[in-house]
Amino acid sequence: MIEQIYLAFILMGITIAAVVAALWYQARKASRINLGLIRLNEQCNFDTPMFLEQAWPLLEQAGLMGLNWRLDWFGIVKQGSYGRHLHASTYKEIEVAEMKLTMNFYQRDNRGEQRYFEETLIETFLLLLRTDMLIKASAIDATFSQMSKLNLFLQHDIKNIAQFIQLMADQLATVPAGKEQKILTHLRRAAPLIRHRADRIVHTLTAGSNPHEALRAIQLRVVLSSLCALHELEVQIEGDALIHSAGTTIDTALDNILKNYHDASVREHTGQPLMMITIETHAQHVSIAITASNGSRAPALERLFEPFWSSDAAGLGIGLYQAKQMLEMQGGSLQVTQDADTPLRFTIMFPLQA
Amino acid sequence: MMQHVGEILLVEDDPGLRTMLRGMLELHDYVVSEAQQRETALHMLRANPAIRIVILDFGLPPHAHDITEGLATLKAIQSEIMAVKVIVLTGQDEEAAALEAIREGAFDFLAKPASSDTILRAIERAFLFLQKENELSLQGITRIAVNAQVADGLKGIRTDAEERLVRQILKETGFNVYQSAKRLGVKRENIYYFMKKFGIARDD
Repeated sequence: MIEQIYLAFILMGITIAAVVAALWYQARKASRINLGLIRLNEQCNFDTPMFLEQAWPLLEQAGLMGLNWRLDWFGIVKQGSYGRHLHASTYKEIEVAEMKLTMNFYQRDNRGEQRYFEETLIETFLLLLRTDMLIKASAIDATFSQMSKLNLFLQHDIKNIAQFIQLMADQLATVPAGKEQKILTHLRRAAPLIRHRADRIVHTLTAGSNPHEALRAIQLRVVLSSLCALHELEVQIEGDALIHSAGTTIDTALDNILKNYHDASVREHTGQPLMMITIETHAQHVSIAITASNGSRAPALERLFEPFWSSDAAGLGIGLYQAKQMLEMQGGSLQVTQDADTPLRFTIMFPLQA
Repeated sequence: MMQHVGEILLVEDDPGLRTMLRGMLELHDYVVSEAQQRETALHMLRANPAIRIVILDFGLPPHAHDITEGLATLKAIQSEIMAVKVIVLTGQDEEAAALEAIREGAFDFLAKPASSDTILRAIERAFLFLQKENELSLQGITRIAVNAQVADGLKGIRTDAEERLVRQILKETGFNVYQSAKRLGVKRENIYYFMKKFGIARDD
């Protein structure tokens, strides 16, 4: 009698071990396929149509019998059909912005645990697809928003330049006798100002400088004084240095930094700050430290160099990003610091031999 | 060309364009002053009554890329009942900017780029209107502009017109209640009543 009970226990033990082993094998397989789908999605650069086209072999390995899908991708319809379409199907739909995906999953007539493994896999697959579509929608929104900001920015400046050219052409076409000198005098005064505006547009559009541009000798104190005057900022400069920079890199970088101080003082009605600038010459480079007497602070320091981010609703958010890029392209750097005791401080490092 | 009976204030944030406009106007013998933002412009208008025309860019800092700051400047000029004509010269979205400019009482709206002739003609017309309004004023006629919401019926417009007229006459008489009452043909008590009703104070 006791031998028979032992035998039953042994059989039960073997059965449990076999079930556990089978479940372990299936769980491992499901996990491997889930990870495979995640890796495949990464390889497809989170591109929904490409991922959809390449995912079937993995789904088939997981035990799915068939799949068909219909993707409406910004008005263009694409379809795919794989495996056998027997039994009833499970219908799923994902719609994000102008992207709509409908799918039918055909599963074997499973009543056991396999059904649950397949359902988990389908949910993972759907989650990845939904994430890809959300990433695409968000990238499109961000691009449109940036384009719209850039357009607005350029429209304002370009219309001012067009107005300037119109007035200049009108005046040159009908110069009243005896007033030639007067026209010449104010053209001489106005032309450099509008050229500065045009340079800003060019640099905004190119978002950087051409490293192959010819080197130009720049006396820093002169450039800083004229830029501060242009932005109506009082300035106290300590030190001076002569550097050689390609094109207008250093002018544009300094202009972008100083313009922010001017705009912030107008926006916050704090009055024009006194800019305190220190220029120091080191063995290999020149450093320019810029800070303001009114203790200006940035609301989110970590975002200052993020393109198209601006604390000013009217700002394009590209100036500081551009300044950093341009300086780095010439072997320089732009750093910004601020802590509880010290105000916002920009530090430019520029190589003596660019 | 008409005789220039007043100065022109240029409110423009672009220093290059401001200098160019100033040069063009001075070439035609206008006396011109400049401001690059709202506060400076209002300060200059309050300090210099000789300014009769304002050429106003709608895209002013800190919102150089939309019409909010220019519009706020126009509203401030209108609310202070300054004896000036405002010509809006702007590169902002034309349809929206023109509608807002007209709603807020701009004399003219010019889209950039406008030719020198167009700008000069607008200025001459503005001076002509100022001169005629001045002549009418000598005859006891004051021109007021009020935006009417038709759906609100007659009561709303009556109150708005009443307020506008009382404010304007008080402004013209330098807040002299006796003279204002005389010009409006009412008792002084009525003027005090209107001042209280519309919250009009000397500093307005």
